[in-house]
Amino acid sequence: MELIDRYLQAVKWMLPRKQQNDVVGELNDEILSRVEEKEDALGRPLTEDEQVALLKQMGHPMLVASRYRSQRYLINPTVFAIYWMVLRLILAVVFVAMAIAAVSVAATGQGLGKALGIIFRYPFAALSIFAWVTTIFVVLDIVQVKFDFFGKWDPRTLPKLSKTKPRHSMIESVVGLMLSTILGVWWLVGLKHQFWIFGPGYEFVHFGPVWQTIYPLFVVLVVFGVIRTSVDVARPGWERGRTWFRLIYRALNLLVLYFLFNAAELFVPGSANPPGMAEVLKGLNIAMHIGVVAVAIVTVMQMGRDVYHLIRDRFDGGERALACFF
Amino acid sequence: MFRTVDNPTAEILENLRSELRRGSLIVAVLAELRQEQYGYTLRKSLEEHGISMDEGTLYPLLRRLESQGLLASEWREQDKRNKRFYRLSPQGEVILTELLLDWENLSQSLRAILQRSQAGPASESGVPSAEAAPQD
Repeated sequence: MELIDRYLQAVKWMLPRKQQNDVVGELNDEILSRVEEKEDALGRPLTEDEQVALLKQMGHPMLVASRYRSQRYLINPTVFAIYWMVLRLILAVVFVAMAIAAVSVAATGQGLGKALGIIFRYPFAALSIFAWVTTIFVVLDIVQVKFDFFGKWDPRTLPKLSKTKPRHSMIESVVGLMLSTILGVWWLVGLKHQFWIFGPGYEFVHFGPVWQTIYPLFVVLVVFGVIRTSVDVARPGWERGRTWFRLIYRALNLLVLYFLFNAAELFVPGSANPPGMAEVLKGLNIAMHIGVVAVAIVTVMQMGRDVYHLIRDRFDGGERALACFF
Repeated sequence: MFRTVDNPTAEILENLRSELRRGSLIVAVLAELRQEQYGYTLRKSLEEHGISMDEGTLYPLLRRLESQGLLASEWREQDKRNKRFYRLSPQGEVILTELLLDWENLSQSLRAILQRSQAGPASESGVPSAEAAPQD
């Protein structure tokens, strides 16, 4: 019966001190009664495997002991929704602040390592925020229980009805925010240190001068993109604001495309200039110009759709919105 | 004892079953302990009446009911082993009586709801069905 004693000892270690002997005594009797019942049925003592099966049926010692403890929460379910909302909001705001700092560093040409270093410090900042917000809410939870906050509510203080529903999940929005920041930083650094974009091809091809001319526009685009995705995280149901952001973002993109279309050379030869490279670059520039026109057409169409959505929402119905024009 | 369902809803069904059973198990335990018993015999007795309860549920429940004053317990030696015997306390008896009354009312209400829903939408909307209509 050594196995049973070891099992009971494991349960005992995980019980509150005051209950230990009582609970273990009772479990001991339960287990021995079951052993006796089985032995009577079999007409022989239980083998080790049979004892193991019986103890496994009783459950893992940790699970058994946990059932004797009352349920405890770090954050009470009643305030968890508010806690979660505040935590998400602060995490998003801090991420935006750090992303903007990283973009600023990248825009001043201080190197990708330094810019990404700011982003990579985010997990530590997030951990610290998590600890502080949780501590504050634990205290608030104690206070709300004492002052009966939920007993003194007034239905008239509830938020007004919302007509919109979030179209993206929170995970999608957070991933979008992280990607737009990392890609934005990479792009800005890459324009200044082109090896980061072309890799080993940097020897053969460089960006044309236009890319440096419109560099400030790229900085604005990246910052705006980060703000836009941050709004998705902070206010997932704000459909109208999202459409406005998208419209402005596309207008900025159109401006970039305009400059690119009017530039003669989007790509120029690098330091190594092997035979036939001039032809390759000529073809690449023509293809890029065609691509720029195609993207511009799609962007204009998307902007038209955004404008339609804005008008439709304003007049609360597409037919009525169109009726204003025809 | 229960029918098993081999589809993805089995887990949902199991959760709902356990929710449905939770309150009834307490009533069953209190009722069984009108006669003094210890944990093992109580579990066996419940099992014989079609209510299976694993020890991980039963013993913490007994402890909780005792801390609420509904059960009284004492350690005694039987068959050369110390056993903890439980019995319903006077307060437990009052509570059990109330619970059984509630159980009866709930059961009647549920039965009435089921009968009405099985009778169809006609009776639900207050329109008398052909069977219920007076025959001239």
